[in-house]
Amino acid sequence: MIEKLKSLLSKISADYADLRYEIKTETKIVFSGHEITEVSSCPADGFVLRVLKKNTLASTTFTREQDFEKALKTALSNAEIMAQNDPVPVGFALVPVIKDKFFPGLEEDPEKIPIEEKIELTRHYNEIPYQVPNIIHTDISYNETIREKCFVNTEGTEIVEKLITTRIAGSIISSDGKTLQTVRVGVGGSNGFAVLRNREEHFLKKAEIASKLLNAVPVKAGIYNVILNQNLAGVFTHEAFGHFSEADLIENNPTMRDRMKIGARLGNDILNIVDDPTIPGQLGFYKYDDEGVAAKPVQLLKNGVLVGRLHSRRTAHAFNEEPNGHCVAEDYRYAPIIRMGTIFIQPRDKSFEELLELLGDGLYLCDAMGGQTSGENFTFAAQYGYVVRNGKITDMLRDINISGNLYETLNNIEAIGNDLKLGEVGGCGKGQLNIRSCYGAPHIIVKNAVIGGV
Amino acid sequence: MKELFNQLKTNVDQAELYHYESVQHEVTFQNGKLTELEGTIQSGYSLRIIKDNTLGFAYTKTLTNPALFLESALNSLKAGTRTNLYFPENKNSKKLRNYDPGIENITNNQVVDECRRIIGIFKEKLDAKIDIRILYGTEKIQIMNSQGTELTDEFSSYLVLCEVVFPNTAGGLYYLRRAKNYTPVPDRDLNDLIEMYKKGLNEIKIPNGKMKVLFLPTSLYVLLWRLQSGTAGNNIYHKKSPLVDKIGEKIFSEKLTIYDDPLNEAYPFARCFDDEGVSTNRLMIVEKGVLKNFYYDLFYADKMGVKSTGCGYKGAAWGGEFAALKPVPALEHLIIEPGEKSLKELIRLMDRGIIVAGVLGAHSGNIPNGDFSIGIEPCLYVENGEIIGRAKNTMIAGNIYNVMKNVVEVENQLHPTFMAGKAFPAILFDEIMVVSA
Repeated sequence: MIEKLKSLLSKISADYADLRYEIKTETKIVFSGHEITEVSSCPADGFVLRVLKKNTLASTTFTREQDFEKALKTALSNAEIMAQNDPVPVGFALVPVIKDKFFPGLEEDPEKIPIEEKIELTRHYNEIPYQVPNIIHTDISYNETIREKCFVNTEGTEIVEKLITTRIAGSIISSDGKTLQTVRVGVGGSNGFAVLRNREEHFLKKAEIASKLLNAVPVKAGIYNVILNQNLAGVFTHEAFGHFSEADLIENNPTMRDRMKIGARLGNDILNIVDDPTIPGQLGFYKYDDEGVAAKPVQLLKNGVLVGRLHSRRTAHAFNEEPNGHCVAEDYRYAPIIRMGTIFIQPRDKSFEELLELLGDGLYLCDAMGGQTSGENFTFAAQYGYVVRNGKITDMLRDINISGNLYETLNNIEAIGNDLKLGEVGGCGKGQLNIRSCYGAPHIIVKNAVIGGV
Repeated sequence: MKELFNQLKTNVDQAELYHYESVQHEVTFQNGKLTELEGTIQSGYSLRIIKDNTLGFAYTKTLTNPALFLESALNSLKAGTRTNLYFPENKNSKKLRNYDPGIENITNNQVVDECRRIIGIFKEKLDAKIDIRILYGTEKIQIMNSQGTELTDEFSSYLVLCEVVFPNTAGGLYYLRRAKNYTPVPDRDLNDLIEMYKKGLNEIKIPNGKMKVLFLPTSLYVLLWRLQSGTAGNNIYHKKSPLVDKIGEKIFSEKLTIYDDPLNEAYPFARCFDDEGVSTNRLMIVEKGVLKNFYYDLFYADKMGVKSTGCGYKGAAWGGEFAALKPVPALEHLIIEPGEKSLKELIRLMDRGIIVAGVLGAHSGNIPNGDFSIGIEPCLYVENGEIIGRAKNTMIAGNIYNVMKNVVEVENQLHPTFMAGKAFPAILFDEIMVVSA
């Protein structure tokens, strides 16, 4: 395929062009309740063409090879139109030319596991929650996504990379006839099928939480000091801070760009945040992004001061900063955009017990159930929580949503635990879905969090 | 495609082949500058087969290997997805006015000029960050099944989305317009938005507590999402809905009438058959507050022993490759019946309250139970019938089966929304808990 792509690329007259061909094979096994409602395993493919001409960048995606000429014509014409319309001039930061084929090591290659075994494992986990009282429904599915990417550009880069993501995930619903409670479950990763085995405890524990939530008290709206568990603190890091580290989200927003200047003090000096797609075995792992740039770890916040951000080649050039391989597409239907890889708060020295003691009175909030950011404001839901009185975990809470302002919240992170945990099932929907978006943190204390409740 | 279908349907009891082709263009202006021109040319095929009451599914982007395509579908039979459904025989040749050939003549140059003109209108009156996206293109679908059904439809669509962003935030007020061909945005359409924006420039602190909350049409999907979850055939079948036994009961204020209207040609993507080839019709969901119907695709209609309501659409909450999506119960053409008051009159009815002009975290929280808990961005604050400013860091929370009982008034006009085919008026609710820092 590389040769074919090179031959197509040779027909392009532009300052720079790249072409990515990708086959995405998805295997889905879906259980709804006790019934299996879908099994499919199909490849789908397509091309993404990007052209840099007259200081503008245009992209076209297409399905059939015979549509290449049409796609090229569209891209060149769009570049021409952009050039005539006083655009922000586009350039690409220089990166090394790479010729490589990369197939990450796997603990059990999912492609070698028979579909029957995958069905049985999913069925097994799907049945576990029903051992617990008041569980009325489960939606559990197996998802395996294989991206085989061939990338070439006019600078001479030629990369083949194959990324396999697996997970068994979904939700468990409990009911007592009056209310329905939902808890999310999920195990998975990027390093093979082995991570999915022997995970019964996870499904059982989540089912018990779903059941207990029926008797939990809805949280009272107000302002609280809180401990966020690793998953929730990870979502905060991703939603509230991480998106602002993505250069494309701030580049055309002058006020945000001004506040996110390198060197700006944004948080308490105990706070360090890094994005590192190069940690093997983590969900967010990759070697090359979708514009052929080697991924690098990026220290984003150091002692509360902004020291780095995530870039594509275009934004690295625009900001006059180093490119770091964070430009990733969902699949063959999209040109890549800037994405987080594995973002996390770096651990400090406090144990969870010490954090509880430090909190005294407040809330302990656990596990995310969706989150979103808009400018400096963010919101995310917690699946459950507890009232903490005098350093002791007491009554269970539900219906918890946290909202806040990025800058205030970063400054309100008062203590950071020593128990970093990275997520196995991430995901981010910034226009395109990124199923390998990975986040995590240790337990943290946040002062004065706004909690919505009924 | 017919020849291929004849090959594919051998050795199975029933088969259905779905084909789509789409060409889309996207013009993006950020902060008043042209930043992106993108094109997509996509197509794909989905195949469903039934053999011995077992359902199989496969998809492909191109038909270079039909044998593999069929093999994938046959392999998926092994899972044993049981069904007694029958693909419909549909000879209805009715055509809706979905396609305006003028769409083929639009040029990106013309669209770029239109964006510039819109920015000019805003800039005359405001010093604000203006983002605009115009998306236009065509889509064609074809459905063929072993009952002899052969259906096609073609769509054209032109969407304008403008956002006027408040300073020091990434949130703004939206203007949204849907059509089937290029139509310039009328200047007057932007005036109310500009007026509202100016009033919202003043940043203020607001009190906490229960108060009136006005949802603008582009924010109402938060509440409707929960209702769609509660009335979906699959959730009724699995009893994961608080509405399972509530047909005929009053669940909302009598001021709310909500229905699915696929034959409504006022908006792009009207449909006289769904993605399974079932004929569509208006389906009342809630009439004057009373729950009237649940909605079904073929699969769950069969499970429940009822007829499909023509609501089987290839959809998923987070998108994905279109060919890879199986039909599920979906309300793609949801309408809330307008009331009698204008938007300005609704605001005048507010002694104290907020306007939900944008939301954060619509997807978070316990959706099956009808709970919502969202950040408001932007959040406009009203006192004595006047917008007096904008509050930051504000949330509301509640359960739709309580909140939607407390409707003060419904706006007298429908507006297109982020979801093609769905149109809502603004709705003023009372007694919603607001918390603001």
